[in-house]
Amino acid sequence: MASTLKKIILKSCDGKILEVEEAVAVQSQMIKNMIEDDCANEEIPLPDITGEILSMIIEYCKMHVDGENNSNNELIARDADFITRVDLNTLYYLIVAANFLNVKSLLDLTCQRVADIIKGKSPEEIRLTFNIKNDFTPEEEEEIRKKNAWAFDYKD
Amino acid sequence: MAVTSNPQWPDDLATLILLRLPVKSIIRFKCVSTTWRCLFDNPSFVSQHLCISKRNQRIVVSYTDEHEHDDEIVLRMFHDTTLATFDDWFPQFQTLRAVSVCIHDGLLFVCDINLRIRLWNPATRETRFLPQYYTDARHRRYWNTIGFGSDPISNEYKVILIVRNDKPYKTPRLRCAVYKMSTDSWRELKREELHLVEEKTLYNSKNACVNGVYYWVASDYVPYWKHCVVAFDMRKEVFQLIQWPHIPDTQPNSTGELFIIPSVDRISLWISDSYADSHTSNHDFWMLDEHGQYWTKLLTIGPLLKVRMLLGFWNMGKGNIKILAYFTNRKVQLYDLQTHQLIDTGLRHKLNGAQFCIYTYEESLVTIRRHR
Repeated sequence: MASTLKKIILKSCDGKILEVEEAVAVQSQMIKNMIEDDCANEEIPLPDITGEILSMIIEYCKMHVDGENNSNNELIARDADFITRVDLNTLYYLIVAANFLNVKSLLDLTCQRVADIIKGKSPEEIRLTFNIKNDFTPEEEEEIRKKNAWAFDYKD
Repeated sequence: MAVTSNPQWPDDLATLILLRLPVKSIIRFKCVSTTWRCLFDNPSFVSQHLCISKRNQRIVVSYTDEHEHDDEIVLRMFHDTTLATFDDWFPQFQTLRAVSVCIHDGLLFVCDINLRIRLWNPATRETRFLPQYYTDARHRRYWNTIGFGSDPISNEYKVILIVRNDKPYKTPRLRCAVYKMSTDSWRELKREELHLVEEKTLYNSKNACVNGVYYWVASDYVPYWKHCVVAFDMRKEVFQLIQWPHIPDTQPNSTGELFIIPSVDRISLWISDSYADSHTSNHDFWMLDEHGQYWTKLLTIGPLLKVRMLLGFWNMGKGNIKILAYFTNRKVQLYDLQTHQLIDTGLRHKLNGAQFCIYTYEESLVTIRRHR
């Protein structure tokens, strides 16, 4: 039983220290690898993840470890409840962190959530959201729009 | 929050999000930037998108509505398993008098009675008519077998067309050609490539391409009714024979139909024993192993009352297995194998109507536009 009680110590970029049960921490493939390589005995610094984001990720991982015996539908409902509380700006930091820590199911959930938020937007709104510069000439852009006019009729 | 400017997304993370968008949004976002336009045209993006899109598979049923004219098929796509919401697809296909419809990787393949073949991607709204190959075979006295699928390694989409002249004195009796979408051309198979199927009758299967192999039920001319399964490897373009499962005491006239098992991507063979003087039928379901050699029995269903024909699996994933069946009262109903519950789909199929099949469909970016 000793192994289940083992704690992993994570340190966020703003200096917050979080103690996490090993079973929860290994939801992150990166931390799992570190434990296997025996590199997780001291605190693990996470340079790009704030304490706020790190707490959210641990909350998510804990939810999945605790809910292991729950039905699939229950887990989907919990995931939905977790993710709809998060705004687009926070989603960005969650995705960067989930990618770094390699929490596959969370990366999937967050990316799908962003896709659901942006799918009904216009190209102008998308450029703003993703901070992208339009590098088409007005003529080029007009041609693409004309060719795919049906895709611009959107209320879905 | 004091954040004024939105963050700059790293390319790899932005791609992870874009892969999860519906096709319509992706097409609209082609004019966001030149980088995004290139990304969306990239074959690797297209196949990854398809892979994710398959998690969100829909059910499509093709049938002949009892109020429509002869052979005019309706394709109904159900949005979810509640059957409450659906789209009816493309009235323009009614004039085609389709004799065969396949759906593979989000692409629809429709072949009409004159062997006119058309591909259609409902998500991108692209369409392509194939060049006609056997123009002299456009007649009912020929027995045509077709298949549509892809080689998952090269992502090449192919059509196989087998034309058999049932007048024995005519030679050659069997001709076969394979169409490649990338080159937009047909290749005629040589006589020696056909020796495995030459003495066989192949029955059109409704939708049977799994992992780059297309399957048909076939029977020998002599001895009559000896069944087997013929497979066509879409990549190597060669035929293979698969023995019929060994079943003692089978009725001589019991034949089988091939169906894809959704979620595991395997081919299954349904063998039914129905007796002309009774309204009950028994059905055995066999699954082909991953090497395409041996059958294992998956389950037996029956006796089933008043089932005229089984149409396919509705789902095989989590939850109860449901199958779609056509009953003698002309209702198309879902049958839950565990609870024995029947759910009416609301479809009314015309007795002896031409096309009647169930498919899985997912949105796909695969382009069928011809390159200029």
